Amino acid sequence: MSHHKIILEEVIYTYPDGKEALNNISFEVHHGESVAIIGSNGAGKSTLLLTLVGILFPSSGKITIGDVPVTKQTLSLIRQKIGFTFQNADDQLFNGSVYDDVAFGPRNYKLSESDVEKKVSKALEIVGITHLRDRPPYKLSGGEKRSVSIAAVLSMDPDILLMDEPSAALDPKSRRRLINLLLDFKHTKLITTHDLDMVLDVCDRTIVLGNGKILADGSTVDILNDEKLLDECGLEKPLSLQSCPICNKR
Amino acid sequence: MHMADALISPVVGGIMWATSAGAASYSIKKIKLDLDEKKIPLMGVMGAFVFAAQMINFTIPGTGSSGHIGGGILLAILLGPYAGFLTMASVLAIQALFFADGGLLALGSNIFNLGFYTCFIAYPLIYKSIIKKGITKKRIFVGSLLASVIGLQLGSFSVVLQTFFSGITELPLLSFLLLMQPIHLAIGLIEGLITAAVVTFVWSARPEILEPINSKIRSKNMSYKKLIAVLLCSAVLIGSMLSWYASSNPDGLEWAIENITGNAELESSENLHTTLESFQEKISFLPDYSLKTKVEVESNTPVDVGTSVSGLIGGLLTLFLAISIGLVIKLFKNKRLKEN
Amino acid sequence: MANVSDSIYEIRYLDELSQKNSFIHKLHPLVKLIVSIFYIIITVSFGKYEILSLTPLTIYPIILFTLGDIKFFPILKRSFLVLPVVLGLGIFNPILDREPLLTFMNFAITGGWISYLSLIMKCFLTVLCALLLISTTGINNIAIALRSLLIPKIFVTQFLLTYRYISVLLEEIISIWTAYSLRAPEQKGISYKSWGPLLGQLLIRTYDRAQRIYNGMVLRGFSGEFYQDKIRFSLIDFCYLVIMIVFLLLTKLYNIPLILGNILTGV
Repeated sequence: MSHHKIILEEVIYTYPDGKEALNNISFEVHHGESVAIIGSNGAGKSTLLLTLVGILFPSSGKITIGDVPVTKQTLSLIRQKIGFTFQNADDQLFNGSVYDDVAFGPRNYKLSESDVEKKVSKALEIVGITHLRDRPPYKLSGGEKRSVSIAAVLSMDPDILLMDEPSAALDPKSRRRLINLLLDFKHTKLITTHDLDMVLDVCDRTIVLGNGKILADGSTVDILNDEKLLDECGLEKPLSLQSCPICNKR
Repeated sequence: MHMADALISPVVGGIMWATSAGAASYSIKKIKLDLDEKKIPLMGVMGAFVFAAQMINFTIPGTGSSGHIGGGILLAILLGPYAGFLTMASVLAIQALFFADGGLLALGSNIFNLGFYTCFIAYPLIYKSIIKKGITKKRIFVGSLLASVIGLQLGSFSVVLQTFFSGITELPLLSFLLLMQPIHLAIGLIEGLITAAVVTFVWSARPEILEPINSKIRSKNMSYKKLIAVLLCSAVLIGSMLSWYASSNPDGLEWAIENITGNAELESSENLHTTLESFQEKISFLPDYSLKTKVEVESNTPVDVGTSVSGLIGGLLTLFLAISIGLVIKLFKNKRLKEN
Repeated sequence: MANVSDSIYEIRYLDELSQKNSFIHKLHPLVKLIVSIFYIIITVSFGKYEILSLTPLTIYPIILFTLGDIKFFPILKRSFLVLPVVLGLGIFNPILDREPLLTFMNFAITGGWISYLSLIMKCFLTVLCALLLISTTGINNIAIALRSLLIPKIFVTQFLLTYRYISVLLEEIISIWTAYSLRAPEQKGISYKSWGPLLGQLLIRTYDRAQRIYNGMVLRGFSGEFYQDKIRFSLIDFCYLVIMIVFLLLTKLYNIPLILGNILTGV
């Protein structure tokens, strides 16, 4: 297996209006790691993800995925390696049926229809939604849409998964299913979220962003127990780490 | 308003289809030149936006009534005339299919009435020439208001002509116009005000949404003239061809030609006419118009009921047969279901 | 905002019907499209006094209802929605055209009433035809039919995208309307002060959404080309096409009801 590393070196991104969204970001994610990116609204989480796939290009600094630098020339290669799920699954599911949506990626890479069919079936099976295959996406529930959007990137056999708020607007059961699914994946994962309890379950490492800067980067357990840090970043200690409101015990 | 299939004759429907298809393929060629694949999702989603936005009722101050947004001008302003026209065509096609709003045969007319005038006449001639002097909030407001009003006036004028030439209503042309234009002036004002309010809001909140199109405007004037020329030529050509074929009686188009030129038939059509005549009598796809005097109508337009008694019996029998076919199929199907 | 939720329901209902697996559903979409258009042309091609010749045309929707396994009344109910326009425009016919054309049991029936009746019949038949087309074919298959007519992909794609996002946008409209009316309970519509901001903001959100959708496309390798399904023609498709066209031509060439009536009454 090749090394599915993500390396950022002094990445700066400035919005057209002059506001700095990313300010000198450097970190390295290793093969198979699961990293959470947390921070208050407007901290720069989504911008960071978008620069990794070349939707936005940093004003300065360098991003490398695997051994390939992210530039206009390498986009096709980079995007093949990375599966990116959006916060709002509706934005990602624009086809008439679940099958067509999951097949969208493989078809764009000009696979034969029989290969496409294999990839789609496999992706649907992994996510456990084979029964939704012929349904139109707009009739699905939020949890089902989320699953389809994950299947839609898995069908491209990505090495790396980037997920923008994957557990947002999911009911507790769908959220739990998502967490179990993520635990099964061996991909390198980068997840932005406000769901710190999920972070505790899924990610070993956490990066805290605030005002476009890295405020902390370390083991999830350490960071999520650092109440002062979390408070400064507009976050709150996850419920499972708080003392019980009734007996005041952990 | 949307034309309905029942209000339109095959010839008028066909001509309008051909004209709209011509404008659409020209527009497709134009956007392909742009090669901006980003526009595809934007067109799709904006079409959905117009579809949905037309369902919001806006209260008109001082009256008890309400109105909704007009789509064509808004799409032209946001997407440019070519993409705007295509998007409007999609919206109308979906309305025709799912809501039977308009119809499949009348779709060509509806695309023309609601898409062509707004995107290719009102938008470039009115909106664009008003904001040419520089974009200000006031100019955008006035431009989109006027463009909406005039676009809709042209559209409703076109509806009147199409209905009239289809020979559906007994209403004389002038009374029909006097009925339709003022109503659509009122509707147009409301649509225009709402559209103008939306466009100016977008301009002050996110000017870059309106900018890219406005900066490209000037270079395209030439090709626009070409488009109009091509369309006019094709409409006249198709129109005259179809009207030779249409009927042995002077039909609407020929009637118009007759009034204008004082000559009932175009000379060259004589031969074609006699050869087709016998066939035409049976398969004429053009209902005979009643643009003439009543006496002529009676002699020309057949009442197909024969003697009323046998007509009535025959008609009832046919309906009975049609329904029995349905019942037999149903019985047969139910039986098969039970057997399985 | 009842009409918005009605529309969502409407679209979904027709969508569900189109998922069925009947004989009609399995026909090639292009064949169904051609027959529907031909049917509409034949229907409106009859003269304004030719009501009798319209009666055999009722067989077509009846066949589609039964063979296509479509419930009659829900579709019929939808076809009523379009009637007002036609009723309104047509009402001038009985008023202006008072020439008696028929006498029946000493009643004189004027041409205006006959043409009014034929207009209403045509309206019903054409509307039923369009609704039956979509409920036995579905939007994706309509797109396939359009592609086999060589309509450019760019148009078909954006047609499908518009359809796809209609329900998303309608749902947003419902929540905007709910939010508005909860705070403005006395108003029937939306006050002019809110016209711009209300729709304008939705428009801006929609614009940004289009951007995200485009991102979603390019991230999965999109480069301007959409895949489109194809369906093969079968012998059954061909037979259906021929039978329907011949039937429609027969109704046009011969006044079937009159022939039947003449035989029965021995004229």
